[in-house]
Amino acid sequence: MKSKPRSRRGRADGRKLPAASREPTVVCRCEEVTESEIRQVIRRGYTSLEEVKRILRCGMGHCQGRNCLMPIARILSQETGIPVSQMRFPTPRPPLKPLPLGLLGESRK
Amino acid sequence: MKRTADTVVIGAGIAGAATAYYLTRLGQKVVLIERGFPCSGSTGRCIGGIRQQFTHDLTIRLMIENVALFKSLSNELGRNIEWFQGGYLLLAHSEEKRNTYEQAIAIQRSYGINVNYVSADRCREIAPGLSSDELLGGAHCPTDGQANPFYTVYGFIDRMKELGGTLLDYTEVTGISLANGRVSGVRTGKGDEIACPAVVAATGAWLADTGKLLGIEIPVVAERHESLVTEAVDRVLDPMLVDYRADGCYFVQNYGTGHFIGCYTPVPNVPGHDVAASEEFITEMPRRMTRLMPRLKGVRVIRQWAGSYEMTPDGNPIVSATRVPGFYVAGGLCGHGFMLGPAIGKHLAETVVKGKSEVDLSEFSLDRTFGKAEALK
Repeated sequence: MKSKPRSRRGRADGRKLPAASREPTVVCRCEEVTESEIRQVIRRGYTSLEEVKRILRCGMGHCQGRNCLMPIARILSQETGIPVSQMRFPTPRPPLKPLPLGLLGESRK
Repeated sequence: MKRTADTVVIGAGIAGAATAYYLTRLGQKVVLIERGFPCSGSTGRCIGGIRQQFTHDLTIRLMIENVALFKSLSNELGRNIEWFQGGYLLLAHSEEKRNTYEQAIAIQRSYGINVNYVSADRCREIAPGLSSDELLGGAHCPTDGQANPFYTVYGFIDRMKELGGTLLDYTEVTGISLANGRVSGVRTGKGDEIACPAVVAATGAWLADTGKLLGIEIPVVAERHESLVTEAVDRVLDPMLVDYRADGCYFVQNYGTGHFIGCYTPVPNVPGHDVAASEEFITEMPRRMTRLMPRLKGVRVIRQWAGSYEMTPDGNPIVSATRVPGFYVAGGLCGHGFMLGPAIGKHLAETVVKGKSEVDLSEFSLDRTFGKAEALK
């Protein structure tokens, strides 16, 4: 017999939700870095956010880690037992949001 | 914890990582100690350019070797280090600069490097969109290139670990022990003692501090350089563009990602280890970049940062044994550390293991007079 896709929860109206995706979970969307890539690097002995960032480029893209650094910190905490509150986060740097070279250059007196 | 090693390497930037890797390749048991994380000093703050266009004979020879090494490193280390042979185009906006380039080219060509002085029109073919303002021509070497500093350093370290080496990150070296006037071990801030007959100090802009642990004076000072990176865009530029004017800049488009990354040398120099970001740079650098290549005006900056050049009195590296047997130094790489690092690491490893290297490095000795200055800094 053909197995049916399973869903963990149903909707209120009784319809089933689609099966959980087997696609990799992308944690850093700017640089397309997945959860399993992050766990592999941590298990190779690189247990700081700074190292994970430099090996995988997560947090180096357009959003500069605003979306992904906290989820990465939580994964790192799961893997190492180090509380997120004790982790050193990469230094935030200007510009806090992307700005065109032309605009920045013209603002130079 | 007590450990032993054949050699302890201090500093996990490009020089230390390469030296540690080549030492393990020569069969040594190596411990690589890093105060922060690999690439946290100058290497991880550089923009990744690799050029052969120098004037010092030994630098030119090492850079020819480095281009060959970078070409094969992705294979050797088992990871893509994003080597790309997009060339370097040094721009001439004055007759004086043109003369400097032509003299340098004569030296470089005597070593067989494919480098030419090209017209302004040819420059604009090599770098589409380049402004013709004041442009007289340029020195073009199509076999120069770029690579990713993070991937290269972590690639060296990962392969070193596979070959039996050890990385101690977030660990500071607090002392170097001597026995009968020779190196006998290293002490760390975490209370580790590592017994070893040889120590390589590859601490970059902090090399003078490491020398002080043994009372050895090393003439290396930090100079602040700032950089920025833009969002990734479609590939429009192959070579590194270098504008040597007093208000010039240099930048390249990363082959692997499409980001533009660049910096300039401040006039006058800014000594010290300050790596804060400045408002001056994030407006002045875009002004210089868009003056050189107006088509970049719409490309957005995502980050600025700063790092230290590690300067010596003559602008040339120090790669050397010292008066303390077993203590070696590799540093003072003057803003060219990433590109010089692999060959320097290889030959310093030979020096440590065999007492001499395949390439005579005595012109980069700590005992030299620091007289023969590099013209293409």
